[in-house]
Amino acid sequence: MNIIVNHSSMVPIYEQIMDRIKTLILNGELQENEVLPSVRSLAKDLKISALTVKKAYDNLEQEGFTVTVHGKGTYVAAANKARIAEEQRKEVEADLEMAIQKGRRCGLTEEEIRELFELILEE
Amino acid sequence: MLKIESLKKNYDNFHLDCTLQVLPGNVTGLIGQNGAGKSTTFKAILGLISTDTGTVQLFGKAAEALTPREKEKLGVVLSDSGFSGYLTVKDLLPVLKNLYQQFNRNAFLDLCNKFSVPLDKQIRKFSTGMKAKLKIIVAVTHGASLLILDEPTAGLDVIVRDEVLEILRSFMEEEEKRSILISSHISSDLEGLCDDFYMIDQGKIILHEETDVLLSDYAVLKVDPEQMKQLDRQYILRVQKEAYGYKCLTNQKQFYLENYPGLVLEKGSLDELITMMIRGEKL
Amino acid sequence: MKGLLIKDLKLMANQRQFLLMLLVFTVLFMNTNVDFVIGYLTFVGSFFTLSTISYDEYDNGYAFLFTLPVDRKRYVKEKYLLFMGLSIFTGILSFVLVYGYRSMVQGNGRSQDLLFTVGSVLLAVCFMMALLLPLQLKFGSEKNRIALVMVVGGGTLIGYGIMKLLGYFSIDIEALFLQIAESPSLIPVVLAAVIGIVLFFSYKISVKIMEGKEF
Repeated sequence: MNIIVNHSSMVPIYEQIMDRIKTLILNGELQENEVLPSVRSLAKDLKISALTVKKAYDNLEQEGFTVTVHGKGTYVAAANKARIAEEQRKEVEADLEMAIQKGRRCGLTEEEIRELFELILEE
Repeated sequence: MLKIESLKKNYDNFHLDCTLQVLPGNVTGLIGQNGAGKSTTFKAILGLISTDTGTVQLFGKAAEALTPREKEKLGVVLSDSGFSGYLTVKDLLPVLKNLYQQFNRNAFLDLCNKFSVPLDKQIRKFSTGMKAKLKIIVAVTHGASLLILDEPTAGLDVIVRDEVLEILRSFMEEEEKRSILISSHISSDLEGLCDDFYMIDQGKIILHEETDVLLSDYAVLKVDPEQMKQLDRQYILRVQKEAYGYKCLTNQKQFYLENYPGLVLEKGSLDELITMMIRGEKL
Repeated sequence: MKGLLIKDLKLMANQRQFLLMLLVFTVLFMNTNVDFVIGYLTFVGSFFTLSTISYDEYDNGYAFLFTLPVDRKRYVKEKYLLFMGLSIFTGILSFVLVYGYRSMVQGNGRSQDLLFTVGSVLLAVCFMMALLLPLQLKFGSEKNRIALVMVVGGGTLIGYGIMKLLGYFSIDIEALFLQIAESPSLIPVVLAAVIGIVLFFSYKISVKIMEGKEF
């Protein structure tokens, strides 16, 4: 499982881990019932606090992507792909909404916002 | 694993008053300036000095009541003390075997080999890095469940430090309920290892935080005097005057990220935290 | 405690050069002054205990030592055991060496004589160590060097003084000793008892000292 953490990013590390694992599940690199590395083991590889990894794992379980069996480990839950895709879409939607609202707050017109959008898409 | 409550020790011009806990499975850091009380705390935990009041509990038992057998569960590294320098690592093998029931000779020799620690040289002739590595190797190869490390990476170069931290991470990985209490001046070491930490200043614990929270929720804002006037202060913990204006410490990074998008904001780090908490002023 | 013993033995083994010198001296004086040989060997051998203490002290070693699965009592116990082991060993060694040498060269071992010398040396050494061990533990090797000189010097003076004093009171020490020597089975018993009591008290004091120490 390849997870790269960006320590300089404003995105909390546990979120970065969660996003990465969700993506791995989505594109099939992590299969159903596959076991994730133990909390300590991942913490060691990423050189971060175990509590951070635990937070990511706990959240993943809460959101239904993984299942933790006490004493055995954390497994990828079944039938996720559609849900992840859906969720990721929703997140992008929410971010876009925030960006648009901010644009409006700053006084941009709809036309200007759309221009910006097209510009960024082309990059 | 380790529980300290209102531990007090009075010296002529220094008073220690300390309460902290290391939970099973955690790596807990102790940070602070020189003379803040880190070593004193460690010495009190280890029974090297007497205490005036308060309790220290190790493995659920009063520290003074630990039998030598129970002490085998401890692994200790002190920065200024170790085995007699006139011994060689080879000499240490039978000594360790007889001190610790769970001494793992193979693991010990493997680690010495892996980290190029010479077996036939007198310890006093080792380089600083070598001595530090040996101390750690001794601490992690006898089945300890709690490590107490006082500045184990002091004076080491970055590569050796990395190696030492790897040894510690492997130690934690081997068994679930192990714990470490580690003090250090090198914040980057702690940020990549500790689960939580306590900050001690002038003998008192002034902060206890999880590393995860520090790195995700704490931030430093750099503002000029104008911006300072406009700033919502409710989540500002400390302020420090700078040449350009002010430096502000907050533990609500998200709030300032969203509401003050133009502001210069840096992620929280242990070094900044220490500087701001100790030198900064409360609003 | 076994671990501590091994540590101290390893440290002593490190002093190979010194031990070699010891051997040289022994050989040199074997012919001329036998009493010196016995005294020298036994003294130096048992005083090694003091040097293990200064090794422990060196470079702030005590701090780490007491974080090991060792308590103060055990530490002191080991030192006393080490001392007793060393003195018995050197006592027997010097006896064997001199007896052997004398039997070969002079045709007569004179064991009775020898036993007496060895016995009295052991006694003297035990008395000194009973005093010096607690002192060393309390004050450390630096300050103890002075104490060492004083005790050895003072001990000799006192011994001499007592002899003179007893002379005044016309008590014939020689006769007294000869009487004890007549019943040889009594000697080791008396010896052991005296040494035992003295060392026991010394041990108790040392434990108290160590338990009060902070690092």
